[in-house]
Amino acid sequence: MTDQVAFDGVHKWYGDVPVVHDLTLGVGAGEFLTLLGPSGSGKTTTLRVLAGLEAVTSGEIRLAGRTITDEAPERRNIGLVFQNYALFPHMTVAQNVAFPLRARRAAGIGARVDRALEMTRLTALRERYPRQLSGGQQQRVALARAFVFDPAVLLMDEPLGALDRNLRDHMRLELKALQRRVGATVVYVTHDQEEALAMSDRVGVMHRGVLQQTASPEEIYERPVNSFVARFLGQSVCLPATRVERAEHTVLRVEGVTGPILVDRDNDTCEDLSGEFMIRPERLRIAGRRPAPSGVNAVRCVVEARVYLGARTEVRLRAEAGAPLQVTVPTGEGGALTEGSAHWLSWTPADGRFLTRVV
Amino acid sequence: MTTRTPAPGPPRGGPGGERRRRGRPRLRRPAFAAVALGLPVAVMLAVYAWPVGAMLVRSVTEPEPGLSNLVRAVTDPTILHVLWVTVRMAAEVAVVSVLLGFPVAYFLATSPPRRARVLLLLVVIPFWTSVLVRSFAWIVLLGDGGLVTRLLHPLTGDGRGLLYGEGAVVVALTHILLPFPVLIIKAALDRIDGSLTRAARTLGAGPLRAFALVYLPLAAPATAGGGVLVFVIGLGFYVTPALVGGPKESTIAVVIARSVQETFDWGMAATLATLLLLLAVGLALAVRRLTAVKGAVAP
Amino acid sequence: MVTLVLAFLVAPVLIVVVESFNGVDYLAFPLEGWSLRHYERFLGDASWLEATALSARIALVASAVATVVGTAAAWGLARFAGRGRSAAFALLYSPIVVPVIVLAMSYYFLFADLRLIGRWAAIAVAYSVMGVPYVLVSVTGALQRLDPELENAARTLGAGIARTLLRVTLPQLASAVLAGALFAFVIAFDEAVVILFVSGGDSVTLARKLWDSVRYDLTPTLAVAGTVLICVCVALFLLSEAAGALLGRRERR
Repeated sequence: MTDQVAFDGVHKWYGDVPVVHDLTLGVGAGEFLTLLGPSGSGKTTTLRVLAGLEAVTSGEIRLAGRTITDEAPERRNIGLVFQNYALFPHMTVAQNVAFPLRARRAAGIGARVDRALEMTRLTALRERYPRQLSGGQQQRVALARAFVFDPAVLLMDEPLGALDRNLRDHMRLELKALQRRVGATVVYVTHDQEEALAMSDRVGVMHRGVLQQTASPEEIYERPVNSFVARFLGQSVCLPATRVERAEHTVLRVEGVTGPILVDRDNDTCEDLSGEFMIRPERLRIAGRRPAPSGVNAVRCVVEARVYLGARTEVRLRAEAGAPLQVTVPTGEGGALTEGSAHWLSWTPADGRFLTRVV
Repeated sequence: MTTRTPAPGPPRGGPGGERRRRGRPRLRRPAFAAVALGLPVAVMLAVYAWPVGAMLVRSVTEPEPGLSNLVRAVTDPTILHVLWVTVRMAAEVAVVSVLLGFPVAYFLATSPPRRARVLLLLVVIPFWTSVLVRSFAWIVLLGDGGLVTRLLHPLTGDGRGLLYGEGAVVVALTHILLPFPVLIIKAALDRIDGSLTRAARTLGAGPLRAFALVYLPLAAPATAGGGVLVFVIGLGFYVTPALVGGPKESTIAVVIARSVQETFDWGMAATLATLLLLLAVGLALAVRRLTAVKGAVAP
Repeated sequence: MVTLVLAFLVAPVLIVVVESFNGVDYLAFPLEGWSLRHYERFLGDASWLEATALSARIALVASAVATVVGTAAAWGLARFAGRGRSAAFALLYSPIVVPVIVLAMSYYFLFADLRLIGRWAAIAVAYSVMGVPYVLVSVTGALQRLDPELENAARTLGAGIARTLLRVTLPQLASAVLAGALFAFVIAFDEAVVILFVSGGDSVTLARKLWDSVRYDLTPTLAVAGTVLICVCVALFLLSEAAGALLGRRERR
């Protein structure tokens, strides 16, 4: 299958500053791909390079089999939803949505605008001006305007960033439903991991201009390729560690933890002798006594603090040898976890991972 | 740490030779901006920079190449006197304009918006009115038997008008240039956050201290800028000194005009114009520096 | 105090208007009787009317040129990031700083060399130079308030650069462009220094005729001419305010 969107060794420099480094990435037709990363990671630049608003420094970009690296933005056939929506303030909702069709001198403009407005539930607001709309409504106009001309790919740059939390959760579902209905290929940029996990077919995590990992939400959460990805998505306990032995299991010496720690061989993806030991807090089991079976990792630690988070309570502990750890328990179940009390944390070798360190 | 990874962190040291492909055709927009800027620049070079430049060149080439005009200008007592009169009158106008303009600007800035808009018209309408017409008005007012002359009669004791004297020039020029400092200072005051003085008051400063310590420093750059602007414009003003001033009130501009049209001393005219231009540009740059350094409130 | 200063600003303008209704044939204030005789004289005198028409024609051309040049330059400055940007700005902005007498001399020498003295079109071009900075400042201000993503949005939506500028950028700048154009018109309409040098005997504008009249005969007819100037300028100012408010409301929506 050929990719709808393909980046091939794309570099983008601002003067001497690399912003996007050696990006190679394919997005399949109809796929919803999210670029996730902290601000300054290069994700928005990637989107703007794809849309033609910035020129690449080197590399090639293809869209639907056609090389568009040097094509002007208006000839690329890409729909972009801007972060601030960039609605034309002097045009009504209907005029905004009709704009790309007029620019193309398309046929049947009226009907296509009507259909796009209907799909985004804007029909009643068609004669309004952007200023007269709420944030969520403006967002939908931006969306309708970006897909009304059936672009080869739909790009969205933090489209929900300006909305408040409830509306954001709602729009997330609506966006996803609309994407399915239209069957559009979407490249979505966000720094919000929940958004990325909830909406995407695949997530690409970017950091300092480098695409760290591209995989399904499950895969990227369960099997992060390095410590940056592990930390950026969800809660994680990450501790510096050194590989002592690599046999049936990998045996690690973890900083601040007494005794060897075992990790499944498949979970050892670290390229060096030293890296980071990682485990998700929800995989840690907590008990008053040392768990019986051998072959299970166990660490004795003392509760340092509790953070009440509503439905869950986060418990921060410190191992006897000094490593900071944490578990999350449903509120009401962790009654014994008072500050200063000692407990045993345990987990199986299948739950821990040994990762390359990337900070 | 010496990790080498399939997905490295930042590309340290930068990737090698393939990093910049030369000769890539750029997107067309920057080129278009260059054209959009280049054409006006070309027009202005042709119809503005060229004539002014040619005039400047004339100051050192006519009647013969060299600085003879400049030497003559700075040694001729008549011309030195003219320079002195010009600077003095421009300074007087600048000081009076700022003193009168600041209270008006303050009043406008602190009035309710609707009233401020109406009052602003009273400043802006004269501003949009022909300088010639306004000078004419002062001829009517200050001439023998004019309204001002008659009102002042009990003070002066005679019926002779102020017209064709330095007082007339200063009054008329002040009237003409006053809108500049008012508008500039008002714009600056509008941008001063009213909560700042309120904050100062909650911190224990009295209204006067709050005004002096918070408001004035913030308004100072624009006020100075307005004053310098009036000074610069006043230096080069021609119409008003020529119409309401007498021979003793000849300004540089008046002498320049006379050199061009009556004595045909074009080299000297060009030299005086050059001096005037340098002074004006120098002061304009100084104002920019002043307001740029003090930051926030530029005119 | 403020009232006095405001009165000081407005009174002379009003006095010219009042003087134009003077009932006698010499300047007198307070008035000695009211009449419209000076208006009759003004309207009956072809030379005044021709001067007014010439001023209008020159101002129209000057304003048009200044508006095109200034608007293009403002957009170019806002979007161009390369070398020479600040030099270009200095060139385009500096006519506001250069004393008018210096410009007057420069154009006098130029026009004398090129035998253009008295040519109205040449005068209009000189005036357009004086209008460019005002258009530039006005439009630049509006461009700074304009979201640059709007142009990017138009481009990604398939509009070429021409369509983008015409349909997206310019409508957003309309009130600023208009304000600049009107100001350039007013500057050219009542300019009174350059014209003294370059009018020759052929291009007597309203301002030039007023100047001669103030210099040599001081009749109340010139109060009428002054009133015409005032009315045109104030009317244009009010027009620009009204249009600005109207367009501004549309832009701000």
